[in-house]
Amino acid sequence: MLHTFHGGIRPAGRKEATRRSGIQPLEPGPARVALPLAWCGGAAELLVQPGDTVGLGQVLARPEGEGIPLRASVSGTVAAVERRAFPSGRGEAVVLESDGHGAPAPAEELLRPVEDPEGLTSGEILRRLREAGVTDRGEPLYLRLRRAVDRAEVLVVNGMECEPYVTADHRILLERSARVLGGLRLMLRVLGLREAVLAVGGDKGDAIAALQKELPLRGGPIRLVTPRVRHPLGDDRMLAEWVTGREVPAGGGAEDVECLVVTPAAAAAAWDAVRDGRAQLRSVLTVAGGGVERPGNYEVPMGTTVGEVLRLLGREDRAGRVVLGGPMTGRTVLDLELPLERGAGAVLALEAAECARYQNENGVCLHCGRCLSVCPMGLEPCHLLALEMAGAAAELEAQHVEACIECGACSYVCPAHLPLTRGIRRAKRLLRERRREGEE
Amino acid sequence: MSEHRETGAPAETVRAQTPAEAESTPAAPRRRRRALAAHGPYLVRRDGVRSMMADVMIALLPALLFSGFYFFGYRSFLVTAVSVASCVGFEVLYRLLLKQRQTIGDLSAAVTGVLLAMILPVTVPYWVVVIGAFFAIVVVKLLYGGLGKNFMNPALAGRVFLFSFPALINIWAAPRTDPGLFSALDAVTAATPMSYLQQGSLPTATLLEMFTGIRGGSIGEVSAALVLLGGLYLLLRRVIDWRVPVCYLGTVALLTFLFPQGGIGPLEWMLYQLMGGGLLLGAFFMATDPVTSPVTAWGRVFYGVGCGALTVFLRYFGAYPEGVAFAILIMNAAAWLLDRLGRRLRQMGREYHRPERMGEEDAP
Repeated sequence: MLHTFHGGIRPAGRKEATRRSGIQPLEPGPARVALPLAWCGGAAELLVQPGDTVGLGQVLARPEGEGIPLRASVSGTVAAVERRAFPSGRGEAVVLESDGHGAPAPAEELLRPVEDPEGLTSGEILRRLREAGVTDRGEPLYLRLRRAVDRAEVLVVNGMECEPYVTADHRILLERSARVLGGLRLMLRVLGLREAVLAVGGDKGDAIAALQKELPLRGGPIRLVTPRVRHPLGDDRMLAEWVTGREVPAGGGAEDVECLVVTPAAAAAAWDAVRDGRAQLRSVLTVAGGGVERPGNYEVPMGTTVGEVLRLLGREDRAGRVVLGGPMTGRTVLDLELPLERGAGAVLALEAAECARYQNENGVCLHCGRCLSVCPMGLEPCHLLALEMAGAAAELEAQHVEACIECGACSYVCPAHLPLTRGIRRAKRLLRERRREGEE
Repeated sequence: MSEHRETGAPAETVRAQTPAEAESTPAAPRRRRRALAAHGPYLVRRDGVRSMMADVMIALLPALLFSGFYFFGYRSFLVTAVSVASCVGFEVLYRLLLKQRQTIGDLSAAVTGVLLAMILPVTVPYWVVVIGAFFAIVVVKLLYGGLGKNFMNPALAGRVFLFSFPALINIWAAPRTDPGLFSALDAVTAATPMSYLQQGSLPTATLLEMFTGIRGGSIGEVSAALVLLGGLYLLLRRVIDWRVPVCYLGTVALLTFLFPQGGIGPLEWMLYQLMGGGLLLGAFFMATDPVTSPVTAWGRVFYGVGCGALTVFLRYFGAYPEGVAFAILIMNAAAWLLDRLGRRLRQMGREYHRPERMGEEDAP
């Protein structure tokens, strides 16, 4: 069932600052949060207006079709409903001004706990997941599960976390092992599968021990595998390829190989939602990097802005480059008022010395071949960069540039510090433009 | 959004416009400011071109030191110094005259200088070294565009160019004699092992002497042991790919074993051939030059085999008692072709099919 994985890199983890930091709440809480209506998953009907007082978990908007309710992640008052930018786009958002009390919403807004989650039917489980607003990878979990019911053959929990600095999933697996496994079992029931693979990176020894304590010695529906950490094995698509042995098509996802990959956070949130009726209102975030005074893993209310997180944990004006996500696949935050996405993962404030001297536009390829040896998709990044600079769109397509998953391994190893990943991104844009022109 | 050149300086934190300000500014063509930008990985490995070049020089150090202190005397150091100085000097001059950015910082000119010296006889006149350096750096490397753009190995091409002075190049000092620091006219000469092998007879040096270096030859090639040590260092440091030296030497070993000459036992013949001439130096330091060798794994395999076959062919049937330099240069010219083949072989294992659902715009 487990197959070889070619390529990949093993950068120094840089996780010492946060790997022993238990998940803690952000104290004091954020002053305001911005919750986009798009999180409902479609057209939504707003239920509150500026000036209303809301409790923690209160429903702010309901989707008109499929989707999840938008719930308040802090208690307080609705300050405004305005257009805001957030990682996945721009749209209307409800801005809440927090009163810091955390008073819960009226009881009828929330779900009641359930005594025996094992006794629920899969339809009831899905309904509770929907009401609690559990999401995974930016999509409502109940929708992902429903879509995968007859199609997925393997359920995989991605606990690899291969990128440097990030330790959020590690701490979730360590501190909330029972909840993760509980949620995993619920998902197995919904999907009607007999076995799930829980992939945890080999460097997380304490989390593996904690999980093994909860699992039977042999047998059972959950199979714990602990491959050596290698970036980008933590990418959903690479993990799906590794587990199933099937090739993910160029530009495709894990579902193209009949594999559903979920995060440990989603599994724990699913258990909380189904058993305790707890809505998913916060996400665990690793905040690290040289520009942060108090690095660690924090549970942050959804919708908190990046700037507020940094302000509460370090000195914002010292930050060199603020990155949302890991240092290999993350994106630079240019506008610090950006609200954090659900399941954000990490916010890094990297100083110039930590990400020094990269991306040399004037570099010359030495043909050393290192980029070829680390590319997990078997591509030739230096050659693709040369083709992109020559604008050879047809040849780029023939060389499968669209199969690139943008993991950044090639740029990492290049001795000439060529901007390989960026060049390949440009190449993909070029192909998309040409294709669009061809259709017109 | 324009891609600006990264300088590594910290990005400025900008205060975003509050919604009120955004409303009050005029609506007409206001460029929407992006909140997030993807600039590729923010971590890179520390080592770069300079450390790779430094590693090559470190790998050559044992051979150079022994040559200078034990085999051929201090003239080895002087020849190396002149070579390095000329190579670096020509590159500096060239860049200055053409008003280009100086590139000697990447150490590639220095490495070419050391390599050129290693494959020259210790008795070579200094002015010949300078001419060789000029050809290697200016003609073969810089005129083509500098590091990364040349298609022939500069040091090797410089050496081959110096075959234009056959009388001066073919004086080989006997080992453990002093060739004279400033003028080598009084050097004691001896035939090199390769000259014996070319005539189909075994050299006078024993196998052990071939291995340790008590024999004639160029400055860096005499001691098989030290060259192998340097090659091992490069392999361990992952500066070179194992495929090229292994396939190169393996092919030479196979062919010389199968076709010994002069009625000599195949094993003995093979070992002498492997340690004779500049084969080991060429296999580990010249053929492995990344710029002029293929980049794909299979390409490198075919390249090594080709170098080996050509070396044996030229040694057996060529006019010069040496085939390595020409073999490598010929394969340099074929490197791009081997890469095309290697690319196709590389992609044979994967299908790269497109998903059924179309219209997917952005990567996940």
